[in-house]
Amino acid sequence: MKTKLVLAITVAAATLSAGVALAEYPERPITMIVPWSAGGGTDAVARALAAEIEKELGTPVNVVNRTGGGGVIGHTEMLNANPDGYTIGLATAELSTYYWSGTAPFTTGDVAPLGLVNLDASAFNVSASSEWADLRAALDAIAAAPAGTYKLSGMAPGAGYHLAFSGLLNAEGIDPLKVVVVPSQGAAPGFQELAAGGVQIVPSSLPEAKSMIDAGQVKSLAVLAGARLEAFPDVPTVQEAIGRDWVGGTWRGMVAPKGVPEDISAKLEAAVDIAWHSEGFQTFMKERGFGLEYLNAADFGTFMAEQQAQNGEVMKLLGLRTRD
Amino acid sequence: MNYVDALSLVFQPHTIITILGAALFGLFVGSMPGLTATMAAALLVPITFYMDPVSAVGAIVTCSAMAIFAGDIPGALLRIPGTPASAAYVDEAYQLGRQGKLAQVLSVNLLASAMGGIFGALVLIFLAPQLAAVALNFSSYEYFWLALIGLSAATLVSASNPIKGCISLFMGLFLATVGLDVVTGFPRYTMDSVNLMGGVSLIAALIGLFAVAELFRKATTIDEDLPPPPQVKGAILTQGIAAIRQYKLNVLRGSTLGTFLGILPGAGADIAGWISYAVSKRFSRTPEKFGKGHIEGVVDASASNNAALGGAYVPALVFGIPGDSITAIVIGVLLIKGLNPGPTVFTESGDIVAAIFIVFILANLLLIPLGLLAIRAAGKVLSVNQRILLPVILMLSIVGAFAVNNSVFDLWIVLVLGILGWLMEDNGFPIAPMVLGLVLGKIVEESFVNSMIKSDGNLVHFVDRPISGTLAAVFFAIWIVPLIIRLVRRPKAA
Amino acid sequence: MLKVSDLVSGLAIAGLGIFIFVQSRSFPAIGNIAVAPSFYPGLIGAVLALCGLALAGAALLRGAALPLFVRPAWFSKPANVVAVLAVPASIVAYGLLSPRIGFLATSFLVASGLLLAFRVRVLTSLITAFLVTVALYLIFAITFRVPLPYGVIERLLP
Repeated sequence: MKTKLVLAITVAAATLSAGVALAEYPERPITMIVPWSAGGGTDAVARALAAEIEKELGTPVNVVNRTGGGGVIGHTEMLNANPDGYTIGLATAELSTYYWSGTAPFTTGDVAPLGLVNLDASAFNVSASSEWADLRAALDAIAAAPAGTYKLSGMAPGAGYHLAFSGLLNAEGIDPLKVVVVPSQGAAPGFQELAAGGVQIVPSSLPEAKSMIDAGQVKSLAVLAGARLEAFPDVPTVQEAIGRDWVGGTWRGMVAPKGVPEDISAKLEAAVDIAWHSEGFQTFMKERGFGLEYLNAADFGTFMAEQQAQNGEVMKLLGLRTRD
Repeated sequence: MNYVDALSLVFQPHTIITILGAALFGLFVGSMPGLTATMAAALLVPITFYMDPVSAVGAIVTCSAMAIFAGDIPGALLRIPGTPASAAYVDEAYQLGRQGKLAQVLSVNLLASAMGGIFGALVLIFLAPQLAAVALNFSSYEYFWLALIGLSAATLVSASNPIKGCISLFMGLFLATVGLDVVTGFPRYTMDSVNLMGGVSLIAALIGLFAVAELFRKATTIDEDLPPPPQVKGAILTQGIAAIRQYKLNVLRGSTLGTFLGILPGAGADIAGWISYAVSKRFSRTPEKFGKGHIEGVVDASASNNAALGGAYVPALVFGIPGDSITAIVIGVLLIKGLNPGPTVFTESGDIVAAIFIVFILANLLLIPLGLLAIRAAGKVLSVNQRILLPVILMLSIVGAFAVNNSVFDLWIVLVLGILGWLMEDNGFPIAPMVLGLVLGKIVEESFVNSMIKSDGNLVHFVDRPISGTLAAVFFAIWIVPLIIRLVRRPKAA
Repeated sequence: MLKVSDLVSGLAIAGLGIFIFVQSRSFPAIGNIAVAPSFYPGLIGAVLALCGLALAGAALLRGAALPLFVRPAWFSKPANVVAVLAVPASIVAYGLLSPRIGFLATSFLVASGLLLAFRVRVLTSLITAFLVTVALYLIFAITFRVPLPYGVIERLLP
């Protein structure tokens, strides 16, 4: 009996060490952390991407929603995960704001970028019954009215769309604090407030506004993008509307914790690249109306650093910055 | 919309098989504490990539309808709600089970769920555009009053000692404030823990307060021969039909209320169960029987939470605004399938929408035979020796609590709230108001703060809109009318 | 658990309410926001403190303040004490062990221990623990694709 037990343990130990020595990454399922809840836009992008990465790497990629605290929990989890390549995450624009708001001690420099997968331009949406005919009229009205006359909703203060909107106001010489934020959990409740007459502006992406535009409840004055979006040919860019080149919005990208071995991160980068270019992902993103934008790991890293710096400036203007 | 063409879309072999599979999946998910209907729907999404739109949405519709009913089963059997939507009446259902009326309460759950679900679906089919327009008028002012009315339900569901009920409610409200403040992002009561920044997970709290607290209680008498567990006896359906006949108006009331709350984005099945139960007690001829094993409130609430599911599709289809977390997923699936929610969806993709409506009705009809099977199977679970059953439930609770957020931290929440729930219950503090506080806490604060921001601190704006004014009047009536009645009656009594 | 007098629970709740209220005073008011983050929790703290005091006061007035604690009946039976303590012990053990040795090993150990503490026979306990572990693994890891903690036994699986 005892010999048998010893034998069993030896065999088990041998298998175990052999497994470690011989196995090639990936030998077990990969976890993809999503800092927002199931059913949201980020979750949808993550699941579509996970399905493609799974095909590429030949191992299950499980999406885990680690929600709460305005995304800070999920991002913290991504940063602190074991850097063995078995935990990756879909980071969102909010990652570049936590440091400034004092919510978390980390910046975009504390993750290892794998690739940017999506960029959604913000749009300047107002009620269909609004008297503002174009962006110029809206900006003039905001500039002329006393602070607090106009309100916006659709996000928590300091979220990507809010910062893009505030940056635009600032560039036009309008104090962004003149427009008060009514916080909401995402664009949908913001549109609800807009329709109910509680707020005048909802800066969201155009796809998020599409149903309400189709329903005749909402009109979009401009999109903060370099060129008009294919699906929304009638919405002018900011450049076309007021002659100022201004882009802004929110982004999503795959990241890993720092310290993943080079050969593994190279595999992951390649997998993200192939997954992004796959027909399945491209069709999915187009059908859902998500902005298709890809940057490889190095460029994504530079992009995030720029975002970090830019958001620091805008958040200072908004009084949301708590440290230097 | 052409319902004949739509029927041929639904009655395809692969569609029917998908729906049946989703139904069994939903029954399983709902009856497992820790697995939620939302989780199940999110898991179905990658699979729906390979389905036609009717199968894809049909799978989610069926799965969620089954899950909300199945959440009642562990509630009645073990006093552990399978989903948050069943939490309101779990005590009542458990009491009934202990009195040997397990078959009755489960069949009432089943029939009321199916009827509520069909009611919600009919409203969706015939009144969606009109009601969605009404729902769009709900701004933070209206939600504020609605949330306060919801909190008032706590006084109705607790009763015996009002101070203890109030304490329990405010403890729940306090737990809901833990985490990042929604306006400023400031961490409140997080004790410098990143995990607490996300707040107290509702599922972990439910598992702690109900499942673990119950296990503690059972463990205190493990040396005694446990009483034989209640059994599912006799013809299940006939017992339910009798109760439903007696309380048919309650079915209608619960269904109406549930559908309406479902239509409002942000309310949904969880809250519908609470409010309907409270309303049932408020207008009952025998309110004193509530909480001691009385079927009336169960009828209202079971119908209500299933009706809310149909209601949630109203704003989702008409405006692309999700009524709850499940419809948020459905909107995503519709978009992938090239259907754009909006008023035009009814004309542009009329056949598919009509087919989805048919699936709604079909799912609720299927609920009855499949639900009966589930009840029979559940009865078998109870015949397992309790000393074995209880540890198995604890293991399921632990892994379930972990799985919701994939977080070990949630286990500590389960433990702390399990002990707290046990301590409170043994000292006469009702648990239900605490759960209600936890469910509604965030809505109360957010709607209040948002209203204050919008109105620049002017309280008049809280009541000067027609709907908000009406809701405010209802709220004050709930509190003032009983006082007046008491004052008027006093001289007579004396 | 244990029965405590309303005087004790009332004072404990009042203490909690005061703690919530005092803590809320330290929350900053950022920017031009109409309602400070301290307002709502401060209100909750105040209500809890008042309710707690009312509960304690009512107990005193009724003369129902004593005894402060009642020794629960289960406390004098060792078997029951073991079963009661096994519940929190299982949760703690799962939380501490699973990240280190993985789900399968932890679940089997914790379930066996719990079953034994609930006075189930040894062989039945081990078989049940094995079946429960496999069932949970199939449900959560395979069907629901929850990444359960990876560890010593998972490594041996294909």
